[in-house]
Order: sequence, then C-alpha cells, then structure tokens
Amino acid sequence: MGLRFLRRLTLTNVIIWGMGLAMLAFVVIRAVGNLASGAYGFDTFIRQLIFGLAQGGIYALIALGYTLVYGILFMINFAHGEVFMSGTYIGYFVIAAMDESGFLEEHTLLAVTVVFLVAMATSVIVAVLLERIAYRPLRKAPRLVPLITAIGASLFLQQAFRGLFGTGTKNYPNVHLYVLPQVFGDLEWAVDPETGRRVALGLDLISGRYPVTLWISPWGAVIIRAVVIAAAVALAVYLGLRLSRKFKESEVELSPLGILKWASNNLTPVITILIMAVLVVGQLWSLPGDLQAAQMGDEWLIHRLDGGDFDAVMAGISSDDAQTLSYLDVGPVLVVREDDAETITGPDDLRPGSRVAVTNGGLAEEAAHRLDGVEVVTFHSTKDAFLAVLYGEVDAAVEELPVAAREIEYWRMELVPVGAPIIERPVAIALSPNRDDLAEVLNHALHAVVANGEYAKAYRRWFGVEPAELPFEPDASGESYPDVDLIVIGINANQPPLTTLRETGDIDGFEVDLMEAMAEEAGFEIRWVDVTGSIKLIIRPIYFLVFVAAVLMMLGLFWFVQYTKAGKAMRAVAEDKEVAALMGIDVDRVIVTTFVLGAALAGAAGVLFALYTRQVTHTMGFIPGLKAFTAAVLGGIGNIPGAMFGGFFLGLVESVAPALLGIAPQLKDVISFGLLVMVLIFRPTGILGEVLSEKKA
Amino acid sequence: MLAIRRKSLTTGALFGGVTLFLVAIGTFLVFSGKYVISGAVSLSDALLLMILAGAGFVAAAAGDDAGNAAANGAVSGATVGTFVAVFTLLARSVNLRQIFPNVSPELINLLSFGQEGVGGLMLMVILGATAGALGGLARLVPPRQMGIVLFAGAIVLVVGLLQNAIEDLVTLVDATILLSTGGVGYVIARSRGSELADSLGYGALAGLVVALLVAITLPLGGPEDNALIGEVMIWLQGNAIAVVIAIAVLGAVLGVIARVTGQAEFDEVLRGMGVPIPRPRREDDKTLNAILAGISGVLIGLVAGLVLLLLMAALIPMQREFASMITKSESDLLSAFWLGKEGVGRFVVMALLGAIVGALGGMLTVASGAVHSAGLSLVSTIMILGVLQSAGEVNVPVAIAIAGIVVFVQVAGRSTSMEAATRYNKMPEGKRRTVNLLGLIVAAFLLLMVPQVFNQYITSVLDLVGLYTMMGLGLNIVVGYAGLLDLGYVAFFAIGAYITGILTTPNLVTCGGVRPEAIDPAMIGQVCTGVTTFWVAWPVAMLAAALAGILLGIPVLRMRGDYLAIVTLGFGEIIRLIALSDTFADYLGGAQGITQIPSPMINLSALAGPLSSVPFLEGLAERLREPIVLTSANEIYYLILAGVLIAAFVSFRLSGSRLGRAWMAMREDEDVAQAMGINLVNVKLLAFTTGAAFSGIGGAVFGSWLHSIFPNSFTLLVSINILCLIIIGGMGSIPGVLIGAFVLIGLPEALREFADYRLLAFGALLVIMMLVKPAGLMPPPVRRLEAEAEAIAQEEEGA
Repeated sequence: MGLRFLRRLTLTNVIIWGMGLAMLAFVVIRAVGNLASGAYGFDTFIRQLIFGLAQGGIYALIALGYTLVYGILFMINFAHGEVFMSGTYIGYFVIAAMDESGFLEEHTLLAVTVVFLVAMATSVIVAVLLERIAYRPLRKAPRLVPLITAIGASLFLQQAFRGLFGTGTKNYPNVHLYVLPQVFGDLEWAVDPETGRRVALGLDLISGRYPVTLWISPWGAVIIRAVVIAAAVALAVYLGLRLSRKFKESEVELSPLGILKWASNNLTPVITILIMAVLVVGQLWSLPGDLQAAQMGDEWLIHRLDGGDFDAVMAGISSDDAQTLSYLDVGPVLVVREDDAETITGPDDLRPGSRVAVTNGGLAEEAAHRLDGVEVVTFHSTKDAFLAVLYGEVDAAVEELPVAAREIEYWRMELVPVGAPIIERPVAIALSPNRDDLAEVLNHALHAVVANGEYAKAYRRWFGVEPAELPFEPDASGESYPDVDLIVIGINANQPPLTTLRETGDIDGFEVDLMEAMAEEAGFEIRWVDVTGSIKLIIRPIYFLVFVAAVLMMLGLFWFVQYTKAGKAMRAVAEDKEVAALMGIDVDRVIVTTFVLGAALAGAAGVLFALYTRQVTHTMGFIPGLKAFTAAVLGGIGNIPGAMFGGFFLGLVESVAPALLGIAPQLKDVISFGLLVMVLIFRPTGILGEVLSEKKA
Repeated sequence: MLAIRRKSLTTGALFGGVTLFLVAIGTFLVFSGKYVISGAVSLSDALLLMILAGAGFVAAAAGDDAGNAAANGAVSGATVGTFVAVFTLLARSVNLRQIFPNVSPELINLLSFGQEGVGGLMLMVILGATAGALGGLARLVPPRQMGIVLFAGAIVLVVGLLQNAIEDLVTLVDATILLSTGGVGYVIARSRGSELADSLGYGALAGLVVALLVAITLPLGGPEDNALIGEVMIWLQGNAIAVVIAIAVLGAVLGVIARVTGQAEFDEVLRGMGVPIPRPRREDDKTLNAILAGISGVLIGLVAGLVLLLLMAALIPMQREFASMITKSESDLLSAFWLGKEGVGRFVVMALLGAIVGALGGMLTVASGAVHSAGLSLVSTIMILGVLQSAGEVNVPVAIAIAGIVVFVQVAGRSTSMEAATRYNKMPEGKRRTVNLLGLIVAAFLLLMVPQVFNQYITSVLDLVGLYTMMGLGLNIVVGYAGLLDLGYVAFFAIGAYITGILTTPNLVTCGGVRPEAIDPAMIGQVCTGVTTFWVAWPVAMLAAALAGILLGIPVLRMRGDYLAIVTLGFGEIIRLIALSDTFADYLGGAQGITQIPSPMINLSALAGPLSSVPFLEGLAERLREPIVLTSANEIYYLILAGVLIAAFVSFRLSGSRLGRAWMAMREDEDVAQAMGINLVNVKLLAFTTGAAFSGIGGAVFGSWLHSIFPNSFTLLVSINILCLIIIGGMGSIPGVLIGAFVLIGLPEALREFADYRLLAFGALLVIMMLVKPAGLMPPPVRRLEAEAEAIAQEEEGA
C-alpha cells in the first residue's frame, strides 16, 4: 500500500527530493522563460553548441585520464590536472623557440606536430614519475592515503613549475595554419605585394585573426532546428517506450503515491524526458523570436559579394567611392502633416522658432541641429516623434527617408516626407570585384529609367511623394548596352520600403521596382538572392579543430583498449589484479601503460587548449582538471565512453546553461559542480553507469 | 676492502637531481640571505650540507665498516657535487634564464663559491665528497644517538631561523633565576623520596633558599651596580684554572666527608645533584672508601670545571655584554618585577617566586611522563631563549650551547622521566590527579601570560595558529575520527565569516535607509551599528555553518569516500564563487567583500558601579566603565584561546564517547560498523555538522579579527592547509592538530621571506608524509600501536 511507502520515506529522502525538484523547477522555468522571451536566440545556441563541443572535447580528453586510472587503481589521480598543465607548459617553450627561429612560420604543420609530441612526452614523463614515486608504494594503502598523496603531488607539481619557470603567464604565439583556400576562399586575405591584388589564404585553422563567420540560411536553420528537435523527440520516445514497458512489468499501484514511487525508481529517464520536452518546446517556442532576432546587417551581403556569390548587391548601401551612380539618397528628410505639405516643402519653409521632433542619437538628430532657428525636441522612438507631429505638438519631424516611409506606412499616419535630404547619404549598387563591367550597364540603365519616368513612379509608390533631385543629370542619350545576360543581385528583404517581403513571400520594394525597370530597359535578367532570416555565426575555426582532434584521439583510445592485446590486458587488470597477474600479465607494466595513455591524451588536450586560450600558467591545470573529473563522474567513472560522453555533456552544459538559464557567466562553475552533486545524488554511478568490478563497488 | 656500490652512484644521481631542482627554483639564492648561525652558516649552506650528507648517509649501508661507509658516502656526495658543478658550468656558458628565470648570475656565482674558473666547481665536488663521507660515517652511529643529534641540529636550525622573532623573549637573568630555583627544587626533591607532599615541600624550600640567595647576590642599588654577576663571571673566567682546581678539591672534600661521616643521606643528595658518588665497596673499610670517594671527587670536580670552562668559552660574547644586558632587561616584565622592588619587598617577592617555582620543579619528580617531558621542554626552551637573548643572535658559540642544551636534556631527560613516571605510577589516584591538575594550572597560567610576554607579532602568529588549530580540530572530527575526506571545509569557514560579517556590519536598514558607504567611516560607529553584536553573531554563524553541513551532508554522505572529497571540493568552490559573483554582490559584497566588521566588545559597565564601592577594586571598576574592545592580536588571543580550549575539550570528550567510537568504527570499516547497528547516515551527518560548526566559529572569529573578509580568503588552499596540518600532526590526534598547526601555519608565518616555497613544501610534505609516515608526527595511541606492531611484524618478516 501507499502508506508503507510513506512510512519508509525518511527525512533525508524528503530533503533530497525537495532539493532536486526545486532545482529542476528552477531550470525548467528559467529555460522556458528565456526561450519564450527571445532572450536566448538560436544563433547563440549554435555558437555555444560549437564552443561547448570544443571545450567538452578538452574535458573529455582529460577525463579519460581520470577514468582510465580510476578503472584500474580505484584512485582519483588528483594530480592529473597538473599532468595536463606540464605538457602544455613545456610545449610552450618549444613552440616559442620555434616561433623565434622562424621555423613555426615556415613549417607550421611540422612545428605544431612537434609541439604536440613534446607536450605529450612531457605529460607522459611526469605521469610515469608520479606513478613510480608517489602512487606505486601506496597501492595497498587505505583509500584516503593515495588520494591525499595525489593532492600533495598536485600542489607540488603546480608549485614546482611556478618555481622553475616563474609566476608570469606565458602566451602561446600566433599560429597561422592555412588550409583549404579553394573551399573557404573568402576567409582570410593577404595583399600580394607584387600585383597589389588580394589573395585568398584560406581558413586559418588555429589562430585566425578574424573569426570565421558562418551564415546559415533560413532553410539551414530550419534543418538544424529540425535535427535538434528530432533527436530530442527520438530520445524521449525511446526512453518513454522503455519506461512504459517497465511500467507495465512493475505492477505499479495506480495511486499518486504509487506513481511517485515508481517515478523515483526511474528518475534518470523521467528527468531526461522532461529535459527533452523542455528542449522541444523551447525550440518551437523560440521560433518566432529567432526570426525577428535574426535581422541581417549588410556585412554578409558584402562578404558574399567579395566571395563571388553575387554580381551586385542592392541593399541601401552607401559608399563614397561607389562605381555605380547613386540611385537614392536615404539621408534625413523633413516629415510634416499631409495638410502642411503645401506650405512646408522643405527645411527653408520652417518658420523661426518652429519645433522639430527627432529621435535621439543618429544621423537624424545631427540633421535637425543643422536647421537654423528651430527648437529640437527629442523622442525615444520614431513613432513618438511622428505622433507628436500628428497631434500638432511640433511642427515637423526629421527622419531618415526609408525609416520615415516605413513608419508612415506601418502606422498609416497622415504624414509625408518633404524636400531634399538635409544631410546627404547617397546609396548605390555595390559590385563584385570581378564584375567591374557591370558599372557601365547599370549606370546607363539608371539614367534611362530616371529619364523615362519609371524612377519617379517607383519613388511615388514607395515614398508617397515626388522624388528628390538626384546628383546627376538624367541622360537617356542611349548608347547601346553592353551584352549582359543575367545579374545576380543580393538583397536583404528586411529593409522596407527599400526591399521587403510581401505576405505572399515575393520580394517587393523600391529597389526591386527600380531594378526591374532598369532590367527591362537594359535587357538583362535578374536573379534575386535574399538573405533575410539567415543566421550569422562567428566561430573560431580552432573549435572545430579541437573537436575533431578530440574525437579522433578518443576513437584511437577506444580502439586501443578494445582491440589490442595491451588494451585487453588493461581491461583484465581493471577486472581483477590478482587473477590478471596469475594469467601472466605484468600488472605494474599495465598500470604504467594506463598512466602513459591518460597522460598522452592530457598533453595533447593541453596543447589544443593552449592553442585557443593562448595562455599558459602553472595553475591552468586546476580548473580543467576538476571539470574533467566531474565529467568522468558524470559519465560514470571507469567507463571510457562514459568519460567521452561526460566531457562533451559538461562542455555543452557549461557553455549553454548560463545564457539559457539567465545566470551570470561568472557562476558557470557553480552550474558544473551543482550538476556533479545532482548526478551523484540521483545517479551515483553516472549517466552511462560505472564500470567497476564487483568487489570494489 | 673497499666496496663501492653502484647504488651509491644512483643515490648520488637522485640527490643530484633534487639539488638541481632546488637550484633551478632559486632556493639557494633566496636561502643564502638568511643566516642560521650568524656570520657563519646561511640557510643555503645548511641545505646544501644536509643534502650532501644525506646523500652520503643514504648511500652507506647499515652493515658497512667505517671505510666502506665513508667511501660510499663520499662517492654519493661527490656525485651530487658533480651534478651541481656541471650545471654551474652549463649555466655559465648558456643563458638558461630565458626558461629558468631563477638561474641568475648571482646564483651561479654562489654555486661556484664566488670563483671565476673551475676552482669553485672543484670545490663543490670536494665538498660533496667530504660531506658525503661524513654522512656515510653517521650511518655507524646508533639510531638513538643519531636521533638526538638530528633533533639537536633541528632545534638549532629552527632557533637560528626564528632568531629575530624570539631573541628578546626571556632574559638570561630571568632564565637563570627560574632554572636555578626550579632546578635545585627538582634536584633536592628528587633525592628526598617519592611522596607528593615531600616533593612539593622540599622543592619549595630549596627554591626559596636559592631565590633568597639570588636576591642577596643581586645588587641592591641602581642599575650601575647590576654588574655584580658580570663581575663574578669575568673573575671566574680569569681564574679558570683556580676554579677548576677549587671545584675538584671541593668535590674531593665533600666525597671524603660524606664517606667518613657515613651520612648516607648526604650521599643521596649529592647523587641527586648528579655527582656519581661511588657506592662503598665494603661497608667496614671506611678509609679505603674515603680515598675512593676523594679520587672520584677530584675527577668529577675536574670534569665539572672543564665543562664550566667550555660553557664560559662558548658564552664569551654573552658575558662581555652581561652588565649592560641586565640594564637592558629592566624593561622586561619578569626582571623588572623582581628587580624593581625595593628593600624587604624584593626578598618577599623573590622568596614567594622561588618557593612556587621550586615546588613546581619538585612536582616534576613525581609527574607522569607527559608532564615531565613538557616540563623539560619548557626548561630547555627557557634556557635556549635566555642564551639567545644574552648573545642577541645565534652565532657559533650560541649554536653550540643550544645543541649542548638539547643533547643534555635529551640524555638526562630519558632516565629522569622514567624515574618520575615510576614514582607517579606508585602514587594513589587522588594524588596523581593533583599532580595533573597542578600541571594544568601551570599550563593555563603560561597560556594566559603569552600576550604579556611575547610581542604583538608573535601573538598574532599564535592567533593564526590558534585559529587553524580550532578549525583543524573540527576537520579532525570529520577526517580523523569519521574518516570522511572533506576538501570543502573552507566553505563552512566562509559561511561563518560571512554570516558574522552580515550580522555585525552596519547596513541599509540599521542605518535608517542611508547607505553605509555614504557615511564617513570614522563616524559610522556613532551613527549606526550592525544588526547585532559579535556575541550573538557567532552562535548564529555556528548554527548556519552546521546547517550548511547538514544540507551538504544529506545528499553527499551516501557517496564513497573519494567522491565525497571531490563533491565537497566543488561545494567549497561554489560558496567562494557565489561570494565573489556580482549576482549576490548586494548582499555579500562581491569581490570587494565585507569591510568594517566591528571588533568584539565586552561591556561590563554595569558591574563598575557596585565594584567601585568595594575597597581595593576601584581600579578594576574604573577599567570596566569603558567597554573592552578586542581589537589587537593580544586581545583576540584570549578569544581564540577560549575557542581552541573548548574545541579541544569537545573533541577530547567526543573521542571516547559512544558517538566517537561509532565514528572510528565507521572509519575502519563502514560495512562492519553498519552491521553493528550504527546508523551510518546519522553518524556521518553528525561528524560533518560538528566539524562544520567548529569551522563556522573559526570564520566568525576570523571575520571580526581582521575586520574585513574577501572571497579570495576562502580558496581551496585554506582547506588544503587545514587538511595538511591534521595529516602532518596525525589524523585523529588532538595534540597532533596543535603540532601540525605550529609546523604548517606558525613556521611559514615566521618565515615570510620564503613564502614562495610554502606551497611547494606543503605538497612535498604531504607526499612524503604519506609515503613515510602516514600516521603523522603524533599519531593517536591506537595508530601508534598499530604502526609499532606493523614495524615489528616487518622486522620479523625480514629476519
């Protein structure tokens, strides 16, 4: 009966459960709240995902060292963080020397390989000495003794490096390892001194001066999102099926208490399902917010123009040295009531002492202050400024032309922009560096459409007034157009009224009208490429490198342990040292091998870590060491796939959780350690389960 | 036949490697600035010699003859020397400083003994061989004697290192008076039987007589007459031979008289004083006996005279300044006390003092082993401090004197201690208790006197030691008794400190809505106070820490030991990060911490009124009118002392209680303990909570002592410090905690100039302790017995 369950419920259980539920509630409420409010965008998620995977890779590599040693000796090698540090530190001296001699620049790949080898060798030496001096004599001692020894060794190693090499922070040099120029041709450039032309260097894999900017198209975002959701749903369904089977088998009493009891026995899957549900709901919920948040700047258009994806870009871009003529001036204009449009046709018609509304900051305010003898009243938004005009509180407003047109259209206000821009801000069509030939065509076409009135028609349609004067004399004296078939034009349809998306999904806007008129005039085809809704990701390539390297090394280790003779011996020793020794396995040697493997991975992890953090100090091993241990426990200590999983999991949590839960990044370590405590409480054997021989557990 | 073993070379190489490490971290250069023996031996010399001799010692095998031991030692030492020499050569030709910033030209110069060419390098090798050979020869000395020598060396080293801090503590005059009264009391009492009353009575009488003698000898007039003892000393030195002869003659005469008069008791007195009067061969032949006694008297006299001469030779710098020293000591409390009185008053004071000290000396003759050795340690400490004060520094003669004192006390102490213990054990229970009580009273008196005798700096170091002892006692319950490794102990310390800080500092509410930062710090005391005072805050802090202990304990105590360590470590970091974070900065101050924590205050002005009407207590009443503020280290000392005593008492009582036994059972084997009916979770929780409460009190005291707390005072290193000190002392041992605190907190605090190497030494110490002596310096009795049993078992196995 339920009562029996109640009777067996101790205070301890109640407190643990209370704490667990409180924390779960906190996580769910904060996460859902932040996702719903749009404070946590999808682009942030992807960026943190990638960083988290890289960081997680480092954790996983170190965690493997903990797990390997724990699996065999059942001791926490507290000094493993220092093994990680020592390799990195010595690696620094090698890479610094190679940097000074120029070897690094000439043979970058070789140099980096050497640094990796040196770091791994150092870590291995330190670990083997550690094992020989500090741990081997204590193998039969009570469990606390080796742990204390390890803490002492950790302190000693840290301080020894401080004493030997000084207290200062060492900085790894910049390593430029360019790869794949043909694929990532637009990523890093150098100017060829002879020709003066820009040359694509390719992707700087290690310390790119500029981060790689990845643009995920709207469809790409949908796909990624779909994958995340699908994975979450799949996991949830899988666990749910397993649970429901268990539910049937376990003859649960169908009372609230009975279900609670059953749930407490199956906590991990239940919580996982809950988390997955939050993820899915959050993904769906955050969708509208994301689309709004992903408003594009023009930089990517220019970037892709540079890369040759487009021939031209038409996106309200202003430039002083454009090759094409300016087709519009988007500078600030005066906005007045429709009734006043007759009397006030420009800034000169304002009576002295008039009041002019403007939004604070920006070009419009600057323009307003240039007007003589008027009183400038500032507002926080264009809408407020325009409302003030509408209600007669002020005589006019000053706003940039497209903004003014957009706001008037959106709020359906009875206002009109009048006169020429107070400050000129001409915009032109940007051309690809390879398509200089287009300038002539486009300029001719522009002349023609201005001359034949198509320009004015489009202008009236989108801005509601007659066009202001253009800085050139329209000249339709019609030389024949050079032969151009198709111009690919990049646009950003998120800039009404210049370019916008109609509800049907077609693009429209002043620029579109204008360009279509020009195309008709000059006889070329246009293909519009819209980038609206794309997601911009700034990612350092090293994160990918770290992730890939970590995965490769882990697979190597996995192979070693599973499929080599030495690996088999390791597993045998982990299972039972005495029996393994009887079978002719040299236990000491296997233990040394274990330390060697763990240390080599830690040394490699150290160099990877240093390549992206760039800094090396004697204390650098402490926090990663602790985190890696946490990761090992999370995954289930002694369990090799568990350590990998735990590392990535912790890296992701650390990277994603602070922003997702709206917690200060300062407190991210609190989250990790809190997670460790929670896992140990509710699933002491780790997420994937411990792999220990019976005797020890 | 000389047999050089390969092991000697490998040992040398090992020591060489260690030496090079020490060289590269710059130890030698830093140490060379610190003299152990002024003008003669610097710390780096001492370190180098220790390493070289150590290499020789390890290289020589137990069964070697003198030649072999010396040869193997020399090889080993020379190898170390060669390592250093080669490194020096390398450092001269290649600039190693890019990588090893500590390998400076000064260091290279130091390692080559200031010589340009290869001379210095050769010297290093030769020195290595010589020191190594000596170290090898030391192998031949029996272990006990070797132990005494090493102990004496260690004491000289410690005194030498601390000489600046401790040189002015006890004047030689004070030391002489104390030791002569107490010593004579001891000697007389020892010869007068084994009853407590006898010991006390005879001791007091003898002390009284000696004190009166001193009072008479001491000048009656002003400071210029104080040179009397100095004059006597100088005269003694000038007439050394006459003195020796006189002593010899006196010895002979005394021996003869004793034998002829047949005064057996007189014999005993002399024997008690250490004069080895031979037992009569045959009772009847008085003449022969008298002659024998006379001869031995002459011999004894000669030896005694020579020892006196040697002592004086050692103390030449001392007696040069003897006269001026007495003047100098006037400001010193004790001397001023008994020299400052005029006329009869001085005699009364001296007599009283002499009687008390003499009685205490007498008491030692029937004291238990622990009390006896404590007394002897006190005696040697006073003697060493007196000698040090007279010389003003540890120079060669003083070093010899210190070593002599230590060796003497060690040699003489063992037999007398056993003798005293025998007497003690024969006494009935009640009297034994009296002896122990007297010992405790003396200890309490000494502890209370500490801030009066020592200067502010030493007291503040002692405060720190006390604070760590208190917390160490708490952690000792968790780790030592219950066997739960808690690496996040600092969290409770932080909680205690922060609770106290929050409760006692002025805040927005108590300041009537004004931000405390907006108030002039000088005026803030008058404008507003904290929520409450320290006296209310500390119990709250203790409870809060205990509660945190429960909250952390409930979930984590179900884990295995090593998980527990890491989770608690994480918890410690969590607390620190939360204190540091901007999110909670409004409450906890963020990185700026909490400042302006007021000092604890004792307000007894209510008593002042009634007391002022009582005769003789007007002065006290006047003092109580103003609240007593515990600000300086001297005043906080009493607070910390009380805390330590309570913590020690609680630990002590707990260790034998049902709960304590449950903890220890659990520590040894959880499963068995559970099978015995121990509720593991409850018992673990209690250990965790008790430890946390101690730490919370420590935090409360810490906060109000320093007046400000910062998150960075609560790093993992604090936890590791505390853990180290109980491990060094011996897990589960209460005196061990104290020893550990002195070694790990007091010593580094006194050696601040080497603070860079403190953590390095900690790390090395932890590893070495675990490898060599996992039970600690002063293990609890059970562990000691276990260790002994194990050693015996190993020996038998070996045999």
